[in-house]
Amino acid sequence: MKAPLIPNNEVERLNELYSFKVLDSFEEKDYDYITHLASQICNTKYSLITLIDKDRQWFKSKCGIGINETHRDVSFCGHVIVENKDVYIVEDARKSLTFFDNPFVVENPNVVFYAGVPLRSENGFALGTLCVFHDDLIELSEDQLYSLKGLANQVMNLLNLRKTNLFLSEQSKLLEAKNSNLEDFFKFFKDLIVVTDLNLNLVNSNESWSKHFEDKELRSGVKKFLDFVYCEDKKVVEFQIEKALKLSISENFVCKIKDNNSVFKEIIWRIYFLDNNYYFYGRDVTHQKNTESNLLKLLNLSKSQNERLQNFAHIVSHNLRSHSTNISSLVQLIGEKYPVKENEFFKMLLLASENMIETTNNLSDVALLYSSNKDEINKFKLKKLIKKSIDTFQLELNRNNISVDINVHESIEIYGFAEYLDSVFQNLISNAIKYSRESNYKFLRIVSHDEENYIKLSFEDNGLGIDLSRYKDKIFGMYKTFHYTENSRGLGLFITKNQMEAMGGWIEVESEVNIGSKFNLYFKKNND
Amino acid sequence: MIKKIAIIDDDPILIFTLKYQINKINSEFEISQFSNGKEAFDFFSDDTNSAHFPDIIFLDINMPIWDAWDFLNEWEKYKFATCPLIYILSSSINPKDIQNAKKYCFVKSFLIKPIDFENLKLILTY
Repeated sequence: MKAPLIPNNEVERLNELYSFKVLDSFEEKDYDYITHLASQICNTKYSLITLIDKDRQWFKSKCGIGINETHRDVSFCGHVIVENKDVYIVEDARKSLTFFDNPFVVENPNVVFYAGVPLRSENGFALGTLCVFHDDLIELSEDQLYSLKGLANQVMNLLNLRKTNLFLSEQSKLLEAKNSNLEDFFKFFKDLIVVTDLNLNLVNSNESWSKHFEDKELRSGVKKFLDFVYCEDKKVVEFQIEKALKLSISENFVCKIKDNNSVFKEIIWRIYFLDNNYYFYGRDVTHQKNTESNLLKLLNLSKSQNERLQNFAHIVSHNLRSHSTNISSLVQLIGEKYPVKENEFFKMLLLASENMIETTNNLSDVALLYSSNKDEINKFKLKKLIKKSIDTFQLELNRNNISVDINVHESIEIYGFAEYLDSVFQNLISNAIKYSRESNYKFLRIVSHDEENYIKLSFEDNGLGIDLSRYKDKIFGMYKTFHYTENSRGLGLFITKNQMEAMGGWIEVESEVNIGSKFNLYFKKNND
Repeated sequence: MIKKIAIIDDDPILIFTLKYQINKINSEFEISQFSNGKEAFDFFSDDTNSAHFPDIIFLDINMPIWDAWDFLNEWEKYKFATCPLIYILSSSINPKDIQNAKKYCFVKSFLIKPIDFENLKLILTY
């Protein structure tokens, strides 16, 4: 006896066979009809559908025989799958060198005639056979062989169908698993999801929706999405639904939805149209909207308060100026018309009225500082401006014996407002005069330095100086005076600081009592 | 030359002091006074007063009935035969007022109270 050979592609062949998951499966009528039909057509006692496993042949269907499987070595079908033939025929097994001593020839069922058609998969692997055999000599006609091949083809169709079904059921299991994952996801999802049919009847929704918006008592029975929508928003929703129907996606839109506590919530929605369902995807933006509108209210409030303050400043300075001007004019008139000039009370009244004018003037300056009506920022030649300011004070500087030393290059240009620049320089020069200290040599040095984005301009004097450890925080504040010198008023540096900042620069101070002060101004080099 | 000067202001003290100063510069100047814009306009537009039509007007901004802007708007519409020099004289430092005044080409200048005596002299003897 010769055992069947093992095909060259045995590993791949076995993998292919296993992919059908058919070995050791239950009997199936569809296959049994075929073996029955095959033995009928071929007039044989026996017919089998065999599948060749690694060490055995297993019968998916059997006709005329009781056993389920045999060892591969004693199989006839093992030989069929090795031979590359449409049909494999053994006319008389008793006389065949391969089969004469095969136990199935020698003993029951005493095989004499055998014909097997290989079951070839789509990938060309022979998985087994449809075979017929008999215990006597017979011959098969062309018709019979043709039918046998056709039946083998049907077996293969059944096997392929089985494989496809298996694949489909696996896929559907996977899908189900995925679906339940998705459902879990939507369950804990904070955003709202509502699914409706074409007539906008609710068919499904996630927990966020049902918890907050769908009253449990009313849950049974048909509900329409529009029933939840604030009546004035219905038109918007309808418009967007139409859009979704046409384009399968709507725009984002906001509408109010009544929640379980009958409070309207602002929801931002987008509608998707898919498989004859509308998917409403929403997010509650009520809180966000409230925050926004509160911020806006606050902004408007502070804006109007600012405007009121500005108006107030103008009115106060205007009215105060009217009165103080009148008083000062009247006092001067009295001085001219009546012989009171040497009267102590009159002198004090004159001084008081002058102080009042000065104070109201300062107040006006401060009010002006914050008005938005400013000319555009311009480029200026620094040295020219400084010289102009020095010229206005030249008399006083001479009178006080202060020598001025300007070390600024002609070409340096800065950005600022003409009025502010004049005011800043004049204030620093007049400070240097007012707070000068008696000494042999009094000076005011004005020096420029080119720094990366700024021009630094310092005004250095050897005057009284300021006790910075005491006044550092107050020096640029409103109404701080540090010296008991005539004319001293605290608004100058406050205004200077604000003017510098309005021009995009800033001011710094270095000072020591009885040594001097140095004010550093930083001007923008570029206008950006 | 004897000049005719009109002061339009609702503040009697301002009128008093300004009149005093004008008198000091030239006591022969003819001064008329009005406590608001309408009163002044009615006077100027009445032909029987043409002999008193001013050469120089000092105009306050904030006044009852007609303020400076009402007065200037009417002035612009009414074509007067001669055009005096109109000075706005106000304590306002509101930049809006200053901007507003620039819109009227026949307004000579914006003066802020108190007006300096030397400056007044220049204006009156111009």
